[in-house]
Amino acid sequence: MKFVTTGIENLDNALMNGIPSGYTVLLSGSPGSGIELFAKQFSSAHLPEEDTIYITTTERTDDVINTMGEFGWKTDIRIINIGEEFYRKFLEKEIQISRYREKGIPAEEILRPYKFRIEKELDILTLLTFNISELRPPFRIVIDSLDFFFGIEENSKVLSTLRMIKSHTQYQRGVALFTLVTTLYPSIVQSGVEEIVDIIFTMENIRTQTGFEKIFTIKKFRNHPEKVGVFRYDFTPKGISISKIASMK
Amino acid sequence: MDNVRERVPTGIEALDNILNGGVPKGNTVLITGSAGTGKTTLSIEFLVHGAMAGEKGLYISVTEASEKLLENLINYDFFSKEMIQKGIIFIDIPEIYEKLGMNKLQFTLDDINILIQNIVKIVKEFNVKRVVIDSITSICYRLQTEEKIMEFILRLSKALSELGCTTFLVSELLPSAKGYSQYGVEEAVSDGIILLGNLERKGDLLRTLRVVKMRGTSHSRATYVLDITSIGILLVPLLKGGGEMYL
Repeated sequence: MKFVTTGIENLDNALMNGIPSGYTVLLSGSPGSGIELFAKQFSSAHLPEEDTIYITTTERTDDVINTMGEFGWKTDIRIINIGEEFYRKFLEKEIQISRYREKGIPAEEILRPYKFRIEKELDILTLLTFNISELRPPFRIVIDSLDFFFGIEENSKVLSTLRMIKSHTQYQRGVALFTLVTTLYPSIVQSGVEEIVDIIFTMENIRTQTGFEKIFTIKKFRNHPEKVGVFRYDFTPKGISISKIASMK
Repeated sequence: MDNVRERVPTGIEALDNILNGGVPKGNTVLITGSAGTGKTTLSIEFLVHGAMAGEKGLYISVTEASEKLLENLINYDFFSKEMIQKGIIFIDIPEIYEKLGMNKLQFTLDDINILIQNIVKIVKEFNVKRVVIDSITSICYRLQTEEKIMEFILRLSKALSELGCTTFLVSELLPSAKGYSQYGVEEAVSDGIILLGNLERKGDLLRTLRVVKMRGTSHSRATYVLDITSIGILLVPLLKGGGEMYL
């Protein structure tokens, strides 16, 4: 298998056959642009032999499945909910800390060993790498979104984890897609991620006088600058569709 | 004898004699000295004698896990480990730091307030009468500025004193330190200072004790030789002549 489909026919055409195996893709966009929906459409477009995991950091697992069902997409993927994992291990702890700080540690808790200690040492990035290292080719990885990891870990640590995932994907001939909300990060983070990946897509929902103009760009394609281009995208009952912008160039 | 203030006997007979009956109740006393001079042993004995007299003790361990400390504790003839565990509450402060989310190297004023509130809460809930913090120097390290150290010790000792608690703050002294404490602030804000040291004499290293300051009582300022035995700490007056003092 040399190329895999994105799940959007016109995009596959624009890429001249889809995404090459071994490639890592970044999809960045403004909030509300539809990058999460693209991530789902992409993950459900896998071939039967592609082992596919969808790593969600913000949504409930049911919501991911339901959304995919609404568009009639295949849902035979594995969903790893790091957001819920994080909530269980970290936020619960944060909530308890704030309660203790506000009201004091209850007498019966004072002498009891601290219950969150073991979980605290479980590194969320290690969890991510572990899940990915378990995959056997051919595979498809979707991470929605990187924002979560940059929010809780040092930038340099996240970047080195992404480099690891990219190498694994490249070596094992899988494909990986990361989503990232633009404008949230210092440019060093943005350019750090952009440097790692092979392909960059962007989705922008630009306000015009009459409404919104939705612009999809192929911003980077490693070794194939001729594949870079600007398109219009839209939402249909079957998902995201892409069309050429006739008058541009 | 001055009977103005109620006394809390340390249970170390000679020390109580030096202090005219014991530490004035509610005082915060700095137990200061370099490593191996017997600060922890003295402080534990203060709690043990309290527990024997029915006064609940609280030992707040900062640097060493209290479990390890209990294992290494000398076996007193007059008190069993089981009784120690019953009469003294051992708390590891890193546990409290974790529970309160105090994982930054430098504490904020807010952290200090919350830490004091929680120590006071423990004292109230368990009706503690004797407190040892071992060591205050390690807490000071995370407070960093003199203002914060002063704020912490003053507010804590005031709150504990109001609850009728007598407190020993163990202070680690590096040989290079000037005065009686590492940051200089600790000695200024405490009500008393008991200095422990080493003295080399005729090839022997002796432990020494001297009460440098104690508010609320008259006391001897002589240096004593301190001996750690199975019946507790013994003090004998240091005979003059020969030897060199080390802090």
